[in-house]
Amino acid sequence: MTVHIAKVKVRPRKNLPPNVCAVELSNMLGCWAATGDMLSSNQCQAAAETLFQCMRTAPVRGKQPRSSINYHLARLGRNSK
Amino acid sequence: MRPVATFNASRCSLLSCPQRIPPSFVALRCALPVLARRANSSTTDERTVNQSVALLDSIMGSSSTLDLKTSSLSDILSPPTPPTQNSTPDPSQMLIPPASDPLLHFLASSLLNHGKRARADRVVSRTLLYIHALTRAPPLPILRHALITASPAVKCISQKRSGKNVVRPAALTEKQRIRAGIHAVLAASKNKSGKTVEERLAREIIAVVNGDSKAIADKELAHKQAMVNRGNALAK
Repeated sequence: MTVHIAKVKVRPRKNLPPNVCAVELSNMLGCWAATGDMLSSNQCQAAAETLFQCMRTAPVRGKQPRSSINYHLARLGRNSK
Repeated sequence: MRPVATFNASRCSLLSCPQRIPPSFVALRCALPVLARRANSSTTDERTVNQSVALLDSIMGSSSTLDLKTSSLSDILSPPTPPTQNSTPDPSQMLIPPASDPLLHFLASSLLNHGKRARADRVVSRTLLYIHALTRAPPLPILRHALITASPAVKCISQKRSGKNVVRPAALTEKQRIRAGIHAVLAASKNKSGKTVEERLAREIIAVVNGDSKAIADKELAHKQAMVNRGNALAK
């Protein structure tokens, strides 16, 4: 006896904003952990400036396209019935 | 702010204006009065700084509530260094100053309520006047320094993955940073003494420059959380 699901649908994964300047960010966070200079006033000022410059010049990436899994599930479910 | 010729207004920087505008990227720098100036801009700023320092020295111990040593005052009031460019200035490029300081416009936009732009601009002008009255120094560099000090560099995004909340630090753009800084300063200014918004805001800005403000404490807390979760920064 086959299981019949009238409407197969999944909750699509949340599209997070793209990870720009990830390397510079991790460098700055590592500097904070190493020195404790959370406000980037002394030792980590250079790392912070590098990150800010990267964010100023990084290409603006638009919204990520939403997943179309539900469209395909509906299409294939319609055909398999 | 009206768009200035030769650059994309949406990418303009709030914190700095160059002496010349190259076509490839933009950084607006507005330190003191917004004028079309070229090589002799720094001498006017230096003269103003020296006069302010001399004034402060002569009236030391008076009603000034700003606890600044001369060295830190000169650090704050020195004009920001322009971005280093190896190429010689192109004489065909004309420096057209913007209609208003982008940072002051942004601050007024944050104070805007029910579309009353003139009122918001007035509040900003009076805030600068209060800062000058309390410090006897040029107010704009103090305001700039305070907002930069209060602005967080990162934010933490919480996401539910595999049944648990994963905190991921993400970098902020310049506009996002300044907006967060302005909101922190405005929220912290509610606890200051003063009948008007401009007076409380001015006192809060001076407190930020002095180093004792709730805005700075909140920024440090947010940075600490980002540092603790730095392992998730590179995760997809």
